[in-house]
Amino acid sequence: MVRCAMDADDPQVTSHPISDDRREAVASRLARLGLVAGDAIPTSRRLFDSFDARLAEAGLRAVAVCADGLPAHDRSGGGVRLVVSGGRGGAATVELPAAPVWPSDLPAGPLRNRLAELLDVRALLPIIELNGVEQLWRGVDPDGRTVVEVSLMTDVVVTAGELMLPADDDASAVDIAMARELPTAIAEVRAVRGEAAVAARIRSALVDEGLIGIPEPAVVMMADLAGIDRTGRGSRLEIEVDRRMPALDGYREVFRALLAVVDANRAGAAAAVDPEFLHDLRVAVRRTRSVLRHARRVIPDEIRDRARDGFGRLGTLTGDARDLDVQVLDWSALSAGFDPAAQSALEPVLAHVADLREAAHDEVRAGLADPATDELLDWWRDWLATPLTVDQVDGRDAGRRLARVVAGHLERAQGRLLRDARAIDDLSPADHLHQLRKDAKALRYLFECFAPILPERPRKRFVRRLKSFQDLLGTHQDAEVHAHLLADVAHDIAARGASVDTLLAIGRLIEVHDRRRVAMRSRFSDEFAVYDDATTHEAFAAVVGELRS
Amino acid sequence: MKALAAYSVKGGVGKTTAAVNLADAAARTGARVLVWDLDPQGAATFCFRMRPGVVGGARGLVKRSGELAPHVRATDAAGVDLVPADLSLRHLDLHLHRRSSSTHRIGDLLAPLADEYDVAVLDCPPGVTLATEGVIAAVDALVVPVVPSTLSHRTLDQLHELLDELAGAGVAPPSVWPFASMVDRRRALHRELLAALASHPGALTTAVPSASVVERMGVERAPLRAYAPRHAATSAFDALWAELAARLW
Repeated sequence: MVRCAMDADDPQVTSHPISDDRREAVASRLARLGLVAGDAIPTSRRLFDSFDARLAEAGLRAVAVCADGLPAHDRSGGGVRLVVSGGRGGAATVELPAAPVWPSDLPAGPLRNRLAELLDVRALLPIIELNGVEQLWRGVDPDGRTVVEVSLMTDVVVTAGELMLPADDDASAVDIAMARELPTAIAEVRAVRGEAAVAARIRSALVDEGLIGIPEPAVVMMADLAGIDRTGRGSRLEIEVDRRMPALDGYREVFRALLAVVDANRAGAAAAVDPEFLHDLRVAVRRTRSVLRHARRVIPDEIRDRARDGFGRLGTLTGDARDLDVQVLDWSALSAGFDPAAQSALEPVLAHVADLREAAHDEVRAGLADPATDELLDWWRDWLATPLTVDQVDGRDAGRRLARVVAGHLERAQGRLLRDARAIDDLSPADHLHQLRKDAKALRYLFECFAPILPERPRKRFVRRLKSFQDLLGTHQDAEVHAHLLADVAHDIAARGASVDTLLAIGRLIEVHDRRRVAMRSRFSDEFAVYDDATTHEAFAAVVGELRS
Repeated sequence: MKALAAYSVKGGVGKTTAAVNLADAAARTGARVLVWDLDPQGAATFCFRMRPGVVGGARGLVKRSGELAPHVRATDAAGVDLVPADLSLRHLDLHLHRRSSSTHRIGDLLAPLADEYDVAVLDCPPGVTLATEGVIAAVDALVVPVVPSTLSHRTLDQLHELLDELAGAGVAPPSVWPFASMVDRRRALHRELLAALASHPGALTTAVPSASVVERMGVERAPLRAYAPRHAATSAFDALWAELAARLW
């Protein structure tokens, strides 16, 4: 039985590492305390969270337990018991045929709702797995009710969770466990609500045996001891640049930070377990391309040309999969107003979109595993790691101060955006707005990549306005892309004999996208007028002025 | 937190069986469940291997400073906690009667636990009392076991009359979700009454079979799943909970 409960004045769970020479003593102490031992069972425990640690942030821990004897395990051989603890209240427990990836893998009910609200589009990923032999010791009252549980784990080995383990070297989880001399035996004491005193007595006895207690479940304690960062992984750029450094060094530092994001998300994007890996990889690639675009005269031409070509290919490789991810992620919201009959008529459409998405992800997987990708990233990594001085580069901006070079690039990007936006009128084709969106993104990426050297207040003020304008262009473009994609899907499934109801429902869905597109288009002039006003220009001038000062 | 009451005007229809096993079925789907045994007989308390007794008794709970949290105990069913019964609950009406806002007292006691539990299941004594009115005011739905007998069906009508009367007094009526309890499909009368129940507004479609394994709950002192995980009655409570969950969320 896996059960936790809350006592305001006592932790629910404590974990006590046991040294090899204390194992026997601990077991006999538990027996002397009147606890009754169950069978020793091979068990695995896996800690799950989203890659950006949304559960940890909410104070929750999701642990999947897999052991002989669990009802789900008996039936399928692969079943798990998912225990979600932490926060207010006791643990929630659910038996599942397999470890969950999405909240929708859980049965309908409050736990699924809670996780769905927290995780949104994020998947549950394994952070660490413990394998070992567990023996449950129970303290019972005269009526036979459990009043405390102690799980005695031996032969504990750390495995798995490679998506979340530190990616800074090639060490496996087991290597990390060995190197850090993680405990191979643990006693996990679980208090039962209303019986805090009993758990306190057991903990006190374990302390007498020379054990220390850590107020976390064993799997969380081991994650911490293994040095796994449970605060998750984001795509925040960690760039160390200063205004006075040569532009060559500053640009290379930005490229290095972006490459680290590509590396960190590559395995996850290939596994396609969470769309955010692909999204973050794609953003890092686009940022790289944007900075490369402006790096003429900063880095050698032959390097820039090769990198632009390579990252251009990576960008193209990921485009379709991302568009289809967005289509699927937005599906519920876009079809929310449809009646049940129309929803049901749309099911074949969603199935077809899901097939296209899977095929696109297969292409991404193949492309990311392609030797050409390794070759590109290895070459780029090597070039960025090779010491290089400005006198080895013939670009005239390479040796200039970073701040001044960036100021010029920001001005060019902003000038281009304003020029293209002012040329847009009611008759401009959608392509022009798409190009404008790219201009806006390129400018935004420059602001993000060189944020450490930009003055904070005007930068934030400017980016807020740019973002608002960019959102309009983004929504317009998404609506345009998705309407076309659905039109293509309609042709495909019509050829396969889709029902009239389904085709009519697609028509309604395309109409939803079209209404969004038209709405964005009608707001364009007003939104651009806000962007093109004095406040924006003043903020921009303040940023550039300080860079030039 | 959603609150349900296993309730019937009539006794011996399977209220406690429903409360205990629905709580267990809910917890199995990941809900954090609190069972409150309001029946002084304490059958649910006994089934969860606990002894009756609430420090301060019914009087302590009803007074302004009373709270449920100190009386909550974990049960052996993962995810299910219990506020045990107390013999003094037989005087609950008297204590409630002395309070000005007696109808809301049960809801007020549950409210502080709303963040800790997803579901509260109240196991109620039969009959119509002041405490019944408090339960009606506190819950989202009354889950009413109906045994296949004419008398039991009549109690459903009586319940609706009571709710109408309370509505007149300003108590918003909860949903009424009856289900067939202790059904033996081999008997023609049971089949007829099942069909009649199906036409009742809010009726749940799952019928819980009459089975000796259910009667063993008092011996095993555990929800059905603990000793008969594959029995049809256990599956029936899982299905019944799935129906309830679909209505609640």
